[in-house]
Amino acid sequence: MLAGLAAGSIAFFVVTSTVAGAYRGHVEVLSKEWAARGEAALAVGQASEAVEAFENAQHYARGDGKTRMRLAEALVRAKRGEEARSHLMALWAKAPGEGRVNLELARLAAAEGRDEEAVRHYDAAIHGSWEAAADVSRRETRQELIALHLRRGALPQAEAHLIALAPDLPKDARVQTDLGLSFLHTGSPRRALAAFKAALASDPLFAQAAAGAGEASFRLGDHAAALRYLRAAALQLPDDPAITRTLAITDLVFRMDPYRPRLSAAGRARRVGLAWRTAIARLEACAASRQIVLSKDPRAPALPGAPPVWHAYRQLAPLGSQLSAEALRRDPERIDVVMDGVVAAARMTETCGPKEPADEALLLIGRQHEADEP
Amino acid sequence: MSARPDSWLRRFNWPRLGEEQAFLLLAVFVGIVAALAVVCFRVAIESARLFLLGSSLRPSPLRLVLVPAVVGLVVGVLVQRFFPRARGSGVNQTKAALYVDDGHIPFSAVTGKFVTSSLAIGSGHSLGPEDPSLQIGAGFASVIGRVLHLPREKLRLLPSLGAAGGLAAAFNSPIAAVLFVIEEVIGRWSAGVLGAVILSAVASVSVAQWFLGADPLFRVPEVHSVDPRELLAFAVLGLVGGIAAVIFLNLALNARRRLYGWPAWTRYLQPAAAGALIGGVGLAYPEVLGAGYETIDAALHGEFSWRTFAVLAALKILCTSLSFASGTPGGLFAPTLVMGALVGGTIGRIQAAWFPDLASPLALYVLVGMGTLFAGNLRAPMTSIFMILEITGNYTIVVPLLVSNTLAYLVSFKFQRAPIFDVVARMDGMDLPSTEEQREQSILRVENAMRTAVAPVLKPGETAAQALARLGPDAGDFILVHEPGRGWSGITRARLAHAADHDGAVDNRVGELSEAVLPQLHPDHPLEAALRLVQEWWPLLPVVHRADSSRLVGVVSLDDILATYRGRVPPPRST
Repeated sequence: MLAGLAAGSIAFFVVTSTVAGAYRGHVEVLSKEWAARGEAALAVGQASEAVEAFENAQHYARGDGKTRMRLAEALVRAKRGEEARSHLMALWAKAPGEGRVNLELARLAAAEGRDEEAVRHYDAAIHGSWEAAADVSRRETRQELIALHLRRGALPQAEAHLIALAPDLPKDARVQTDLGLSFLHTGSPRRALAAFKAALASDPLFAQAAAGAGEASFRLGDHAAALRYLRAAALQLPDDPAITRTLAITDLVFRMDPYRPRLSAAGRARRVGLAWRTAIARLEACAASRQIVLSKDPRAPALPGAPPVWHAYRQLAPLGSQLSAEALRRDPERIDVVMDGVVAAARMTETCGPKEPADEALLLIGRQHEADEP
Repeated sequence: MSARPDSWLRRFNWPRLGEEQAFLLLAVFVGIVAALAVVCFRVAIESARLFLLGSSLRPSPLRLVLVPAVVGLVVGVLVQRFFPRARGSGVNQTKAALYVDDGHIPFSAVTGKFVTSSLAIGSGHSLGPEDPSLQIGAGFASVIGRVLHLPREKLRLLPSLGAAGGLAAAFNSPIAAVLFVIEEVIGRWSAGVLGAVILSAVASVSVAQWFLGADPLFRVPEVHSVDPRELLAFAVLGLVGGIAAVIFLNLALNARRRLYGWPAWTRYLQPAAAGALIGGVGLAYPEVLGAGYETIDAALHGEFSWRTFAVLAALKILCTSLSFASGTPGGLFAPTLVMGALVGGTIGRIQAAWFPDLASPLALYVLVGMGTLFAGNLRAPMTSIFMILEITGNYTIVVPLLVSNTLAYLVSFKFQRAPIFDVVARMDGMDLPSTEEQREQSILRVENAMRTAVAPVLKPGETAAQALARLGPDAGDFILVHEPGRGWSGITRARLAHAADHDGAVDNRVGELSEAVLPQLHPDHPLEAALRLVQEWWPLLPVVHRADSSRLVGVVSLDDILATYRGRVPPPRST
């Protein structure tokens, strides 16, 4: 009797093993089939169908993290963020250092405006483990994080990551140009210029790199180099308004800045004169647009209630008679007097209608001079 | 009953093992066998589902319309003609084995339950596998007990062990299984029973996990602790869950009562009709089909809006009521969890919309909702709490769970006095003991029956004459004597009088005359204990203070005990 019971139990065990094994094999096949259908649907952009397929695949392979990850990715594509997040958090709880999981969580958080959380997950993804192409994945993740920091205005953080990223980037012109533009955005023109130069070394005719190098040089105060780069960019992209404008401003600054080092007296006088004439022309144009009659006579009495343009013109106009090289050599301080008047006029005229390149150029000269003063 | 051959337990000369230890080993064996049966049962359900509805979680409309109805017809015929004991969930059938049939569950009932439940659940009827697993495990245990010719008291107990094993394997939750069987099937706690039940459940889970893996039935996201202010939301969930439970119970029981009143031949067709209706609902909402674990999974991962949650909850209540009332074999555990998940999801979504800063993740509401409906529908409060804790492995949810479960239980108890299993048992003509009613009955204690001692307590050094002089006319015939160091004893008034008449005799001190030492009672003792101790020659027993046994707090006699019992006649049972 006991033997019969034991034999029966063993037989029951064997039958159960066989049945359970056959069932497990069958559901494994089903899981793979549904997962394949999910991949096919994702490949053609049918996110909803992919979700359904991966859900079926998951049903038959509950413990399979890969299938669950694909399900989460399909849910993200299907714009079902909450459900995706739920699955991703479960995966994250099991493997907090998994790069792919953290990346998807970061993207979800960034899309939902939870920037702090996004940054945390991006950092985890950068330093996490990746199954394949780890270097590329980490680089691309860092690039996304940089973009996030730039959007948030966290420029120091963005710059730190750009510096870390730079050595890993290929010397491709486009990639280096993007890097340079990012550095410009973070306020690092020197690093930006290095990146643009690397881009131009790879492709000397890459207009965006030239334009970027021009911008970076301009910010660094090297107007000659800026002109050179911008003219090269303008040759490639003559219709680009940004390049055209920057080139015009740079050109004006180059031609009107009397504070550039190693200028001759004649050159300095030429520049002061041009700045004066430009400022006067802007004031006259501004007055005309507001139907204001200007007076050049410094002895004319001040009109009560006269607009600032009238006063600025009355003060600036008489200075034009003493701008020869000899006069400036005799009285070097006159340069400052004239340029102060010119810059003050530019501040006034920049608000008079659309901002002209001349206004920007004169203001830049003024700011540069203030920055250079001890 | 014919004389049984010698029980295996007695005959086998276990080295260094007593009968009780051998029974515990048998419990392990029963758990293993129950697990094997449940593994086969689960495979059968899934295989039936794959064959009947296909491998997609969203079957084709044609299958949805035809399969539940056709299979319902097959199941109806099988149950009516061949396997009448397979009808219903399986819990009452297991209790009947314990209280009515001396532990006997025919193997045909197990086979019938296996076949009909796997067909019904696999075809999409809104029922679950846990209750049938309980009965299947109990059935196998019963067979083992009969083969081994166990004595009656052990044979009666063995199905409970199989039930615990079956339920533990089905749910992958040994603690919940143990609690449910103790709470609802056996109805009492004792060291011997508890040990055997635990061993069976643990053995069963181990074996089941060996075959089916340790992955949970549904994937539970991380949940975290709750802001105390949010407990109000969980209280609301408890109230709403309680109301949902009452609605389900009334719907299911009234429908069952009504269908039972129809001609007997309709019972062949009732499962088919239920299947057709459920299939129709499934065309729009396939989430209500079957046990519903995928629906719980989807709810946990936030796949539904609050409206969808609410609609699915209502439809699941309706479909489960239909399946249950039609007598289709299958259980209520899984559908109850699904109902709870959906109700919880509804409340969770609303909370997140109205109080976004005070809303925990939706999964928490879903999990608490599951326990809430379990407490409200099945009235197993401890099981519901531990089950959710086992599923989540996360203790931080215990406070909202307690709040919600308690309220749901109270609401359900208020509006539906008798638990569903008790009502169904009575509908089936069985008067099984109601563990809830037993639980709700107040336990009578000695303090309820004792009275103040009128007679003085005699000292052992007193003479009989002195003692008699102290006794008043209403002191009674049996007087207590207390001797420090010896305890309490008693002496009859007649013996004192006789001793006093012979005053000059030796040994007429009370201490020498008194009877043997009396057993002592304490006020908190169950009155049952006093009833066992009161004897013809101990008509009065002392009730003493626990901290000072020389301090008499009262006395109790047989008359006192009987008067107390008579004074607590229970009210008539309601249905």
